[in-house]
Amino acid sequence: MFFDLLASGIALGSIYGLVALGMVVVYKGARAVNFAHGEIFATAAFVGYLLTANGIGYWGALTLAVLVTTILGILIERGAYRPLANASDLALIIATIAVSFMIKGVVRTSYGTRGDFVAYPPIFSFDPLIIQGVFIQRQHLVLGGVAVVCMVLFGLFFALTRHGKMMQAVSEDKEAAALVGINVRLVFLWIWALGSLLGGLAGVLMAPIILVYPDMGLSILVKSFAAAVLGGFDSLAGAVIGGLLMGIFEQMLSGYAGTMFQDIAGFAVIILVLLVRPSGLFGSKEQTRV
Amino acid sequence: MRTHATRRTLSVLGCALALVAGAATAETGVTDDTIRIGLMVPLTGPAGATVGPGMATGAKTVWTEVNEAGGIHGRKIEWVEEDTGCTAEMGIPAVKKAIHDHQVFMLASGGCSNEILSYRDIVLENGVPYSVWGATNDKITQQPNCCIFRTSLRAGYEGVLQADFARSVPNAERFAIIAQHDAWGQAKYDGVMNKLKEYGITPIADEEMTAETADATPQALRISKANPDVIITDLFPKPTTVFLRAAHQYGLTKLPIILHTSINDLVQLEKDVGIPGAIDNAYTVTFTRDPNAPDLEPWKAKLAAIAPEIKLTPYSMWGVTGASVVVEALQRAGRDLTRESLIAAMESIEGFESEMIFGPLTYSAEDHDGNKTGMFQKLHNGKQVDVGLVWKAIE
Repeated sequence: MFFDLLASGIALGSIYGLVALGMVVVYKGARAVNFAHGEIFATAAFVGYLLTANGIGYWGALTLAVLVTTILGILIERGAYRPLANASDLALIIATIAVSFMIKGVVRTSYGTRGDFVAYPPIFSFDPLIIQGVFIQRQHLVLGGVAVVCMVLFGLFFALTRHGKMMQAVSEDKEAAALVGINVRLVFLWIWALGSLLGGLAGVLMAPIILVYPDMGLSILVKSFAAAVLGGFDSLAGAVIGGLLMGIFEQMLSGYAGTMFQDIAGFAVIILVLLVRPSGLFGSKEQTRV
Repeated sequence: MRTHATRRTLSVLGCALALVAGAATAETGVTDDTIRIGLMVPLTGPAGATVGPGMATGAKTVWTEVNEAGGIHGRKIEWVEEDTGCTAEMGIPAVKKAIHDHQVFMLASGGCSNEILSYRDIVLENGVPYSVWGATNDKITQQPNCCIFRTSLRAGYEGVLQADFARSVPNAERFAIIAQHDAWGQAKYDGVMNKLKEYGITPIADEEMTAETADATPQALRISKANPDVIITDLFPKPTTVFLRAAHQYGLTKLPIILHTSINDLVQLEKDVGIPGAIDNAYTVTFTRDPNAPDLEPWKAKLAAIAPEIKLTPYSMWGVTGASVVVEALQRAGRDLTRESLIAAMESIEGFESEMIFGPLTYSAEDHDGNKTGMFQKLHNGKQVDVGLVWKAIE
């Protein structure tokens, strides 16, 4: 049972990590906690479903859905973040919560009358791989694999590319970045677009496993938020590791302590980390309040 | 002086008598030629595409037929539709609007437990008769209860049927249960557990999921480890799908899996789960008959005449059954129709048969749950078929 739970924990944790990575990218770059990130995840799942139902293959649907959510991220930046860029943190938080409800409202208008969920077709056959007696779902393997590749690519992007370094510079000190000629507004736009791209990617990857419903964004937001808090809200690597730990913790807790604990794991992690190590495992010390 | 006082007393008494007499002849929502009924249906939200339109069309079909035949004691039924959205947020204003703005004589339909529980006290405080056709939570009809009646199978009874059916599986000794512990699932769960306790059985696995649980691997693993003979589930359709996908990985779908009335379309469930063979051993409880039964064929055309997009499904069958019971009670109550006389008429119904359901409906002053009979069904060659004869009713 341990290795089965570990395998499913890693797969789920990869998604939590991917969603958390999107939140951390926005937080690091724009100093804003995007509470609409869960709805971006849900939007991608619905767009992916719509495209798949209309005959487009899974990977084509994934690409287009991610494109849609990237554009959605740009619209959120232009419509909600940019006008409030110099407002208080509270105003920004309220703005992203408002955006989250607006997106959910649109999704409900389109899908709320179609039953409480739609079933995304599975990517692969459901026959699991059995390795040394451990059951591994093929879908989990793909999910984990794509998530890891994305994380590595993002790590390289931030470490090696000019655009990545510009984003880091803006996140460190946007006034100083502007002084050296960086177009700060444009960089903010990239940050929101990239964050939303990650949320969208996670949404379509996860959809065949968790099914698709209008309120799906909230539970993933809570767990990914917990992952980001655990890893450190300003650490890209922390988001990924936090996500994996969160997934494994959730599965082990429900597997060994009882399934009634499965959905409270996220909240438990948030409270524990804030009490014991507010900056998270890899967060910098000044980021004590997220 | 005395004459003046007497005259004043008499005039006051006269006014009071006139008011009482007026009230007796002018019952809320009843005129010389109409009876107004508030049709409380979810037309938006999670059940907006299926439950609400199905129940509403079933009812309108029955009442239109009654009206065309001359009505009931010279009165035609008119209805006002209120969208409850299957939520407390929409249900409470909807019921207040029906009672106070539309001044309905009675309420009918009601598809969702959580919604009805949120406005149950409003209905009882106003003494408005309410015929509930779909919601299952036990507390809806719990006594003391002046005026809420139910035609659907209540959750606790459903749990009893699930336990009885599970126990009837040959050589089944080890029982597992997986349930939601919210208002909806708890009542079914309690019904199962109490019945199993009566039989001296303790489930060897007792697992939990919520409507939001994303992955059921831990649940499937724990049940698999317990090695049961039968699995009973009390989960919404979405977590049921998530659970069955995970359960299939661990070979659990080879065991009999006992579902419930909220999973009343096994063909759709098979599509949603998306794994060939995953629901081959799934059995669901239903109190409505097979919609494809030849004798029900005429109903398809009748429903289509009211709403062409509505098929004969369990939801429209709930509507037909419930509306027919309302008609029966209105007929029994007679021309001098009051809410009190309607309630008395409902409580007098015994052995009412509907071609849509398996068992007869019987009410009394102490018991407003008329339906106590269910049937089990499973998929066979892509069609949902009855298993056995009529499954015995609750004793």
